[in-house]
Amino acid sequence: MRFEMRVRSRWLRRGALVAAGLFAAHAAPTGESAAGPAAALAQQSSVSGHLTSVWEDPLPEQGTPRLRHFLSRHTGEMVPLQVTDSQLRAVGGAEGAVGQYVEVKGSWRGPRRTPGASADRELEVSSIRYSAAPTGAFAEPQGAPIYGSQPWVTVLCRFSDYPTAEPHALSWYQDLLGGNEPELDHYWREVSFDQVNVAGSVAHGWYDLPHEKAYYVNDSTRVSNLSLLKEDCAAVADADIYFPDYVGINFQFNESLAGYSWGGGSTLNIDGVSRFYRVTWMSDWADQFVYGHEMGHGFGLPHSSGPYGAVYDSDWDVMSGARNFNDPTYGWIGPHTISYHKEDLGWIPADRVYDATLGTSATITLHRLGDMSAPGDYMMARIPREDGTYYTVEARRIVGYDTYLPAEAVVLHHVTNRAFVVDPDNDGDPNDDGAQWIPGETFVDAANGVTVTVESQVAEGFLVTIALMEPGHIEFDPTSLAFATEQGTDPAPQTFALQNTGTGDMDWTAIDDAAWLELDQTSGTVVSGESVDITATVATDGLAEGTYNAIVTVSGNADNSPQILSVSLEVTAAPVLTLVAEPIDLEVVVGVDPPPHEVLIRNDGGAELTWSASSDAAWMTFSRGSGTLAPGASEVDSVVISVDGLDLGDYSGTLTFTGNATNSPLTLAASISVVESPSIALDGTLEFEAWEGDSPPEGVILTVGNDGGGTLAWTASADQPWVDLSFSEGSLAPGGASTIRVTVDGSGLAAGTHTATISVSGNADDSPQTKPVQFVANARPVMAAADVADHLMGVRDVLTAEEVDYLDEIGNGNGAFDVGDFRAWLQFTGMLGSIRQGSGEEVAP
Amino acid sequence: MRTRVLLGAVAAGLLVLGCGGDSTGPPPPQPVPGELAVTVSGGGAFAGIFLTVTGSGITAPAASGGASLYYDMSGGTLSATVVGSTLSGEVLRFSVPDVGDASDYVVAVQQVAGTSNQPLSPGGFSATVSVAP
Repeated sequence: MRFEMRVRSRWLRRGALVAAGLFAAHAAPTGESAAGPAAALAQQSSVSGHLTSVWEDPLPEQGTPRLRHFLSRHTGEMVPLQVTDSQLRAVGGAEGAVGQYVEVKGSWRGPRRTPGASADRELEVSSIRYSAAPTGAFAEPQGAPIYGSQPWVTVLCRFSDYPTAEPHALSWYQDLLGGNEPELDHYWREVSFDQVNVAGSVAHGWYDLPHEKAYYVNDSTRVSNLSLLKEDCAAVADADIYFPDYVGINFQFNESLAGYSWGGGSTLNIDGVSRFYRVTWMSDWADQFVYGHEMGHGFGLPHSSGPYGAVYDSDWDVMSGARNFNDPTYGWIGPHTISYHKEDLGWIPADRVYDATLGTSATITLHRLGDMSAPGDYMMARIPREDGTYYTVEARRIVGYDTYLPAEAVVLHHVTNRAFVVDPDNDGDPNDDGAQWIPGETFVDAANGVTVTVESQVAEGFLVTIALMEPGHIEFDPTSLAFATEQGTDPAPQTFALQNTGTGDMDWTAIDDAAWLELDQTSGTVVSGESVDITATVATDGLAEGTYNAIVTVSGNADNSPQILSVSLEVTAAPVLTLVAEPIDLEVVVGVDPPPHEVLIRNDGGAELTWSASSDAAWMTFSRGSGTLAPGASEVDSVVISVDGLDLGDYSGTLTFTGNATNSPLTLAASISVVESPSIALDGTLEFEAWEGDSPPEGVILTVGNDGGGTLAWTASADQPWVDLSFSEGSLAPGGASTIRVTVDGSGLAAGTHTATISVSGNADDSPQTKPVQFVANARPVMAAADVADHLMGVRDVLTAEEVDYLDEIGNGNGAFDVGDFRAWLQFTGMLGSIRQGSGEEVAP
Repeated sequence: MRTRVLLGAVAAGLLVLGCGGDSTGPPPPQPVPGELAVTVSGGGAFAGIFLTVTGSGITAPAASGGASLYYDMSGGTLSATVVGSTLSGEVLRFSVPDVGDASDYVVAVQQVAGTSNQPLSPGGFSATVSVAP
């Protein structure tokens, strides 16, 4: 119901726009009448006509846009009004008043328009009321819905003091109206889904105005006399243009109009016809975007924007500031306008609009807003809110004039008197991630029971689920929780009821902000009128004495979401006994006592702790057994295990720590297995041989075995640094064995025999065991190059068999002495290349 | 290769014999001392070579291209081992009394080693003797 009322309101505005063309002809020739005694009321006047509005758009960062109000008279005169919103409410409000035929009473402010005056006087309104429109009104312009041919004429006018300045040639403006991308006929066809065109639009000019710019424009006050500009520019072009052939007029001037361009509508009495036209007033900097934007105002569109008080901050709409792409010919190019505007102008048929109704959830395909050629899918969705406003949901894809959008995404607007981008992150940027709804993201307006989930991206749009549910209402019973306890003792859990006193079922989630607090439920659904019990548990481990506060935040589709439940915890000082110890689970060799086992006793509380410890097993005692600890202090006691007299087998016992702590007593379980002694067995011959300076390439395996009972924990080490072990410790079950790869590094050893010892130790009664290591570093043969060469060439057999083997070994190792071995030996000895270049060494004696 | 060089030497001997029987012919050519070069081809890259050169009056052997040379000239045969980083083409030069007798010198490749000192088949290489440029 709320939404239907809103729709009616908008249709009223459409009707108002249509009515704007019904100008009265009954006003006095001067358009004003004295309203009182000459002295006091000489300036009081009464003027009748149609209320019109014009959007005033400055250059980026150079001004604030304004919606200016005028009284359009049958003569074509535009009377600027100083009128307040409250005054406009008397005739339907700032929006609804537009197009109404009214009688305005007020006082003139500023000089009357005379030649040389830059701006017209304004009528400061004292009262405004409906008035009967005169009969014989002229033809009205087409209001929304707007379809079909909409030819515009662009009239190019030069100020008399700028007789040669032309921002563009006539051909540029003519081409801008054309049908090729991105020209305006092409643009409006795509934006309107080919329901509107501006074919037949023409441009004329440049024409010379009769006055200088200052006659029309006051740059210091940033006020332009739109009425004078319109009338004079139309008059100088009238010989070439029959204005009634067109629905709209772009008055293009060759200088800046105080930094603004305008778009809206106005009457013009010319060519024997007084009628209402869509009108724009363009500064010299107007480009394709500005034309699209101001013509959009001419079609009746308002601005859209982000929710941050700016007007031109949305890159999603030509009717905001979406200068997304700069064309080398036509400057900035506008994107599509938003779904709210398209539907408003009648370009989206009713069966392509999904209107969410209360108590429903539906998954729909939203077709991309830039195209409606494919039948069936929705082009937009509307979701009403409790306050009478509503959301629009639309799919935007990177195609056509939307090619340079910030992203492909679902975009939401909140429509009040105009549309605002929904941007919940409130970061000031209505174009970034926060305003882009992509698959997997959900917009939630809990207070209004609205959720919009983007399910996936499909070929021509997005799949979205839209739910509109009556909201729930969150209440807690009790409204807060208070826990109190001593250190070391957790308080009893407490339960609170989460009640849904709203009219709709409520999905809820709960989170808390304290590590010591835990809820047994963190999400769920509560139907209207019901409640759910949530239990809060407190863990005081590690908490010092003091007061702690936390909050539980419950959110959901409730009209008062989120709600906060406060939780307090009062912890009073008390000793807290804490034990820190490794588990006592040992295998002990018969007759051999293990090392003492350390236990750390700590007081984590806020009061002094007195403790004592006892054992229920005779083989397990404490070295101290009791003590006193200040808050935060700790001490170590040793558990002494004696296996004297214990037979083979398993034993267990319990250590009990008691004290004045609230968490006393604490226990430690202990168990031992008394086993036979392991025995270390080593196997392997660790002998290595290499040439002096070389390292043997292969390692040798040393096997460590356990030939005894019980687990052998062993370590191995060598007494020489040139011996390396692949690993040096391990444990072996009885009968088990491990292998160690032993390698030697003889690179730093002189020729000769070197020895080392590897020792393996462990919990065996035959520990340690050793294994010798021998490394023979053979001296390298010393030979003269001449002898080696002689031997190679068969001149003399001067080398021993060992020397020949050596040469082959450091050479190619093919079992024969050859020139490759000779060259390798020369390389090894550094003699290769030592023979003087070009000469030779005679190796013969 | 050795066979081809030996045949060339036999043909040169027959020509000298013919000229000696013609007293009206031109005088025999005078010996021209100079250098002969041994060039090795085929078999790919190599870095060491052991070869023998048979012929009279060989003196002053020298390795070409900056390689190292070890040699022996006892018994009228030049045994030469040339080693370097890489070898190719001309590997050895030596002086002779008459370069016109170049074809009388017989070279034989005995062993070849690659750049990693691996043995290479001598049959894959051929060596020729020519007047050093």
